[in-house]
Amino acid sequence: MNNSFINLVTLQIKEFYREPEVLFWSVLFPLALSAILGFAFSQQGVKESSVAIIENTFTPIHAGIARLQSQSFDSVSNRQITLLVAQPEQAFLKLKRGEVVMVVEPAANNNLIYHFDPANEEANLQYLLLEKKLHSPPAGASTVRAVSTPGSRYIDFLIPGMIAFGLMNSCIWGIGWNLIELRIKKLLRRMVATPMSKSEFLLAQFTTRLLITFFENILLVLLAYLVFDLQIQGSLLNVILLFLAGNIAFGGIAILIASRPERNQVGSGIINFVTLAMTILSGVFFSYTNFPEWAVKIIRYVPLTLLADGLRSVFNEAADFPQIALQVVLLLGYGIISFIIGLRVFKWY
Amino acid sequence: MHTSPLITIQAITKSFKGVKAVDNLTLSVGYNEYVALLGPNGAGKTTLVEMIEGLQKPDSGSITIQGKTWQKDAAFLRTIMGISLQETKFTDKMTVSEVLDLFGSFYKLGKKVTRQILQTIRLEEKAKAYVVTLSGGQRQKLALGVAMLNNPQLLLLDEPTTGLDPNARREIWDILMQLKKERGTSMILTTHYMEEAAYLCDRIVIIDKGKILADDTLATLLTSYDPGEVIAFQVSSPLATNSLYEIRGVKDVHWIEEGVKGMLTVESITHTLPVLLNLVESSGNTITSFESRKKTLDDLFRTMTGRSLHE
Repeated sequence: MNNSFINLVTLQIKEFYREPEVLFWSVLFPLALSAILGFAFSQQGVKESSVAIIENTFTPIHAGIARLQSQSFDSVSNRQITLLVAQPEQAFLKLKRGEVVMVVEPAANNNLIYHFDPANEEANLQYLLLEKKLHSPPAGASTVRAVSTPGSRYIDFLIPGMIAFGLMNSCIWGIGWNLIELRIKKLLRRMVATPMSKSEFLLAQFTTRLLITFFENILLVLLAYLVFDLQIQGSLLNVILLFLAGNIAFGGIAILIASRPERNQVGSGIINFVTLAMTILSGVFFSYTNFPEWAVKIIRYVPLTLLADGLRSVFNEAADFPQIALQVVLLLGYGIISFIIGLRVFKWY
Repeated sequence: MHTSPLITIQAITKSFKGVKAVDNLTLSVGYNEYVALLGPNGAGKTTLVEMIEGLQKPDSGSITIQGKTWQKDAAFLRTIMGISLQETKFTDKMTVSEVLDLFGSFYKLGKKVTRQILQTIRLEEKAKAYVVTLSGGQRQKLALGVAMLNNPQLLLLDEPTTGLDPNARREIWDILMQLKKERGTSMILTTHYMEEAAYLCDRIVIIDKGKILADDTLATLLTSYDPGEVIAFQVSSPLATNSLYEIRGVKDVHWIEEGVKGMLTVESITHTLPVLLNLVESSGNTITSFESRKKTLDDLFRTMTGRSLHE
């Protein structure tokens, strides 16, 4: 038997494992990135930071400072704060060099002057912590409870985003780049000169990618489950549905991107632009709600955001089909419309 | 017997950004006929071939192949054609037999056929080798194999032996001659190599700037367009042009370096050569380099256009 569709799919998959670099960049790299980010942001160790206190005439007589020890530990923020007493010039030099996050200057009448960059969140945090310690305790008692149940940790936010991110990259680079390369090598031209069916050819591209992304993501989810105890709270069927819709969306976009370029640089330029723009905007690594409100309204409908948000809601909030229906439909819309436009302007030779 | 030619090309023109690559060109190719398109780079050979292949559309004029046109019968025409494009690069990490199987499957051919082709192109021992490991000649043979898969009525080969060593070239020639004899194939071949055109083809079509300059058999081209033989020489001190024209049988003097390095077109080397040698010696001059030969297509092309085929 010598079937063209099977040949097109199996040859692409064979190429995938015959080129070890391809395997590394498309499978191991996203895994490693997830693991690194996961560890980096869910690290349990004590964070340390230092604050400089200026030694002047008020230092020894300041009521609050006298109570402070040179090192103190804050259990809620899990921080070890080190206080360094220093001369003014020394203290500000340390601030410039980043050795301390803030300089505290004692003043008359038990007053304090804090010197720090308000844009530095660590410094802001230290300011609040020190204010609490250095002045009399607040009226009522507050209790803090740490939240670390599955579904609300950073890793739970990250992994569905990584799946969406990986899917986008795999489809756009895998299909888009492959088509552009076939065109540059004039292999596309050679193939179209045979009775090969164009739709079968494109369908084979899509099918190959579906198989590969499926394999990639099984590994990613498995890693997240084993290392970070990731749980899928919603139905697996909905995950698969979003996964398919994502494949169609990015497959279609890939074909649109690849429809014209005839040179490597142009092709990689366009692909980089599209994937990088979506990666930055779509809040794969960090929430996109930090963007201005008007931008957030647009960002919500970027394909990568649709997929990441959809997957997150199923993974972490147990969303059921009606809640992800809009995302699925919009993703399918992106895919189908891009595919139709792409096919219409596609340069086969 | 076929009463009409396999390919009839009527007054086709194709321009790119205002420049005419093919200019009002008319040509026909018969069944089992091998035709060479000979011309320098940029003459319009590839554009012409790609229009026959259906990869480009002429701006005006018509192409019919077995009475069919690309507009109406593209699917049929694809099945009767075998194509080898200029520099197609097959995927590096595919094996030779995978490439043949893949293209075979586009024609719905079984692996039995693709294995036969592997034999025909003499690459059996490379069946499992990756494309990336093949030599230039082996790659060209593979491209030829892909072109032959569907037992095409018409082969269109764009510079199939450019850059190959003489042995590899010879091997490809043998395969093509076998095809002509055994399967009655027709072929259009573009080439820079006169000896390739001479060895393989029944007719040679010389193209420049999108137009046909000459279209005939090699023998006719060489005898009827600008007959004669060539003496190329170099002397130690300058000769006068007039003295050369006075020698009987000299038809043309072409100086590469005025007075010192030149080419004579003569009716017959054997008649002119003794007189020329005598002239040089009697004036105390010496010949420092010398070559005499029959006229080539390159000489013919030079006479027609003032330029060399290889420029």
